[in-house]
Amino acid sequence: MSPIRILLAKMGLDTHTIGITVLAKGLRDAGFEVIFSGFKQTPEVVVASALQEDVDVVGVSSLSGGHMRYIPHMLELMKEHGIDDKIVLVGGVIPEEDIESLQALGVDRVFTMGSAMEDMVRYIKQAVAQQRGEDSEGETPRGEEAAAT
Amino acid sequence: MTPAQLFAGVIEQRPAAIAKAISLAERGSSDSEALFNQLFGVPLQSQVIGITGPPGAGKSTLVDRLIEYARSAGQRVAVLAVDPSSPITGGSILGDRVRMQRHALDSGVFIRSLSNRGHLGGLSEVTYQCIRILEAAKFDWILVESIGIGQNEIEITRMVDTTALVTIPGMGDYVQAMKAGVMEFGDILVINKSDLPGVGQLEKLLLEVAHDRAGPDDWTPPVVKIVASNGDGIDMLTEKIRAHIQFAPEHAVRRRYERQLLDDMLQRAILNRFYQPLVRTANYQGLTQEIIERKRPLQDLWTVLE
Repeated sequence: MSPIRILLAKMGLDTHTIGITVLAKGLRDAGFEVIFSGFKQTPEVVVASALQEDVDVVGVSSLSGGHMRYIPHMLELMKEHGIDDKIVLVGGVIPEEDIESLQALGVDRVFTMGSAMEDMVRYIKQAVAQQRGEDSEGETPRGEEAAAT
Repeated sequence: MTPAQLFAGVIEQRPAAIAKAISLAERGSSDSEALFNQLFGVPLQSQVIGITGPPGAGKSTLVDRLIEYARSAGQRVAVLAVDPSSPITGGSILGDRVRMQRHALDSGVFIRSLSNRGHLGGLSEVTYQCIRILEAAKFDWILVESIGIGQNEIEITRMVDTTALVTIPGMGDYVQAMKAGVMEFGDILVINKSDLPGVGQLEKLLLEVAHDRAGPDDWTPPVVKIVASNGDGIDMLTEKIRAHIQFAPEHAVRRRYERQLLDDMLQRAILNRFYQPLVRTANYQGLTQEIIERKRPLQDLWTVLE
């Protein structure tokens, strides 16, 4: 299985950068290719980067309440560019009621404060394997599962 | 998408197709071979410029400036930015893009981060295929940023038309050590952060290197002082890049690389087609066993070729 590629980004004026930095290192240590696209990005830039980098996963970190402003717009742009098949993860400070709204809009999973690195790694490996039609150990599934992809 | 569809998308300069084609090249499979077969037919039509130098020399910042320059001249630019992978986990953090994000929405710019996926020499082995994909998409300039290099990772210089070697003041001894390695290859010697102390000493050293280099190929590498972070000296650098393009016969370096590439491909094919089946035969296994046991002389090995 070729390495999982994930784009990490922060949008808006959110300056809480420690979480995403720790996450980048954790994902690298899990064998991922982490494309670090920087802070204070716009949804347009994040989507253009995800497209050019052909990532499996887009991970957005939000800790200052801008998530309902930027993420729905980003999801719309992803649809427009035909890359809404990518797995979208959101992490940070996200109130309970927003989690449902985000997931209804197309976010695959929200990881709030205190999430364990190994849980995120496991989730991403499973989600990407499913997306690529492989099992999470990197083997292509045989029989019906393979035919279904 | 099939390789043929991807190729068509690349020719139409569609960013999504270019991105998918690069991923295919990175994966390496019979499909990526099929794609490369089609790509190879595309003429050499881009200027490929390699940016190399030690970690922290400011390669990404310089690339950002070169994009700015090329765009102001109305040229389309693609960037391949290579970062190292961990030898232990295979993972990597690809962070060059951060320095170039202001160009992300420019439709004349395409930026792709690559992990070297454990390949030594400072460049991933699929880099040349990626260069060809971008060339098929008709980018005028293709900037290839290598990982931070040490003393003799020169692979990049073999597959680009012009190599800019970036150094910074305060690395005097380091440059001394590099003299016999990568210094023998940079077509343009760039001193970045040239507003820092120690620039005079470094310039002297590089001029010496350049002087030693002035030889059979008649190209004396110019030494150019820049400050990539504020754009100082970029005009001079681009002028020197243009001069080198004018000087060097049409893609001579890359043509040499391609010849080597074909030789390597043939060698691999011969190994797969003839050597591998041969060594697996019972006849060969028995013969070599007997030779090892000294029951037959060594020269009997060559009977397998008959």
